[in-house]
Amino acid sequence: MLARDEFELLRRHQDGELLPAEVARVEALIAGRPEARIAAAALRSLGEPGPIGEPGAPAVMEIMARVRALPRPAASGWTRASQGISRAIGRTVNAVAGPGSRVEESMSSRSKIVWGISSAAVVVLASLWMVGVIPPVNQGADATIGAAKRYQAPQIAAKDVKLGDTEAQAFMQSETFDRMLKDPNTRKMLASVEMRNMLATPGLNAALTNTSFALALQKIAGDANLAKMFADQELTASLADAKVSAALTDADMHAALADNAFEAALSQTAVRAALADSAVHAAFADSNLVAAFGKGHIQQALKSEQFRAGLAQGQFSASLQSQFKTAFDDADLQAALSRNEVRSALATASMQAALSRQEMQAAFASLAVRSALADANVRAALTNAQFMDALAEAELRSSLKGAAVSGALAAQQLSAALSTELRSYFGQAAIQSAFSNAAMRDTLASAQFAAAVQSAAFQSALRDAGFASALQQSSFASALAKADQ
Amino acid sequence: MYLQVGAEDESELIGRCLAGDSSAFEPLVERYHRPLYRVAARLLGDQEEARDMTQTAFLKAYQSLATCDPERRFFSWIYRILLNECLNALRARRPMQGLDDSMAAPSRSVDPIEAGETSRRVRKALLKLPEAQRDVIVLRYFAELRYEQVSAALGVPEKTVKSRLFSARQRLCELLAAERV
Repeated sequence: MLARDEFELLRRHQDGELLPAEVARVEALIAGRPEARIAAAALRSLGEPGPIGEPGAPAVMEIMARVRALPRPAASGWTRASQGISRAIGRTVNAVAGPGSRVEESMSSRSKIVWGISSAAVVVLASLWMVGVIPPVNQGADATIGAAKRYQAPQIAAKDVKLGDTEAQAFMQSETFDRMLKDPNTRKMLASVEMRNMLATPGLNAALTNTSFALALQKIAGDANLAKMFADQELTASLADAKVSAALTDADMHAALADNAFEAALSQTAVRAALADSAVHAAFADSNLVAAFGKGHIQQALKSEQFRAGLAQGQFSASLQSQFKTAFDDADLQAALSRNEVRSALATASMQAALSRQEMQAAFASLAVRSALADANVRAALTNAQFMDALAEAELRSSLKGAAVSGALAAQQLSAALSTELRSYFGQAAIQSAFSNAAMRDTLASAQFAAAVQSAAFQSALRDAGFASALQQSSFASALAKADQ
Repeated sequence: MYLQVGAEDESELIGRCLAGDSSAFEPLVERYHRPLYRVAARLLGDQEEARDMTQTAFLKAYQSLATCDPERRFFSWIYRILLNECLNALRARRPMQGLDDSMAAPSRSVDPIEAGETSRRVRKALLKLPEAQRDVIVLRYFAELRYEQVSAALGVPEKTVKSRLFSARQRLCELLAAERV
């Protein structure tokens, strides 16, 4: 048996790479060792072109003549591919949910995991669809999240789809899969009851027979940021949500995925960052928020590039976790958020900073404030164009950002005021108009007003019907502004 | 070079074929018939049989185009079809004689008869190699592809190609030596 270096020497001899000093050694090797002579002959044979001739140009003509005589190639492999996915998922369901089955015995643990991860990805997809990251087809350019040109891209072609066991094997050899495999959270998630329940849902099976899903899974699996989502424990809690299952079977969702919009969404750095954010995962896992996001207006809001950019900010996404998110499950509030002005306001750094303040979150966490937000009048105010314009103004946002105002909002007295008399005034046109008044906004943003708001006297005054009534007068706002100066 | 053509272009051609435009297959034939013929000729050692085998591979590929994975190069797929055809043909041949002493003789003669015999034994030993090792030898030496082209055809890193090639050559020589014993 030739040693490795001896074989390498013979190889280099054949390839003409020997140094002069090595020639004698090779000759001695070949002369003294029969196996070296065989190896040298074999290497020489491999390297010789041999009298093989050329196929010649007529070969092409002959082949094409016979090709033209053949019937059209069989139908597309998409149907077969879908069946392949279905079979694979069927194996997964049996393997994960049916201990002791023969299928389980024949399936490697890595295969279980790869399909488990794919199934988790489907839930991510369903969530993305519900919150509007995957936009519906046939929407206007203003509702897209990427550049308009992205949506003029051609339909997803067969070349975009990887399906079947071969691709599963390729994915299992990828770095992404290795990362997931080593992640203890991923392993825990795949062993969870929720995952097993989800794998058993007819909705999932139906979805996975759709080729658009296969494409989306492929893209998710290839994105490191999104891959992190698979390991998220909170996300798995949403698996049992009936709305997720329903979304999986939504024909519009499948059509949207096939419209290349999903790829465009994932191409946005801000979107990927947002999706990888743990706070956003938690928000997606919240049934109230998902329910809210499932509604049309919220989807429209999320399609705003500015809003998405805001979502990618850690501070803002952290605020999504606060208790006020339950207030989102409201038609009027959603209508408010569908307004461009509000989205722009939410996307600003000062607003995000305001929302991220502990005092502000404490205020939203307050039952009284949440109660106020749930009040029809307050919500009506939020849908009022002038009020929203005011919210979009920098001065008002600055006032919210201030510690004094957010502190005041968290104060029990003001909360109490908001929970009772004051809220009713938000529904009145005059109050809403007052907020649109530049002088009033200046006032609200001032340090003196913030200090006044904190005072017990002011908060007491807020509870007074007469004072609240005075707020309706534009002259009062002007006077307040003048007094502040 | 034929393996530098974009896979997207190939997907489009395949799509047109599937839609009923058989003329879209012609660029694929023009692009790949030469390297495929070389592989067949070196494996089979017979030019006429190699031409038949190449033609058969293209016809089978056309009829099964729907099963071609568009993510992979068309060449990788049709190469596999051709290789299977050639291996079947080789296996159908009568068993070859054992290795005689001429191959192990110290002479470095390039006698065509001896060279042909060596080539035949190498082909025989090639059939015993694991598929991954056989592929790199066939593509590198028979199809005369560069390392990066073998890498593209097999979908593995160039470093892996080189590593496999070293192991394949060594194993091939061990098989030949063992046959002599």
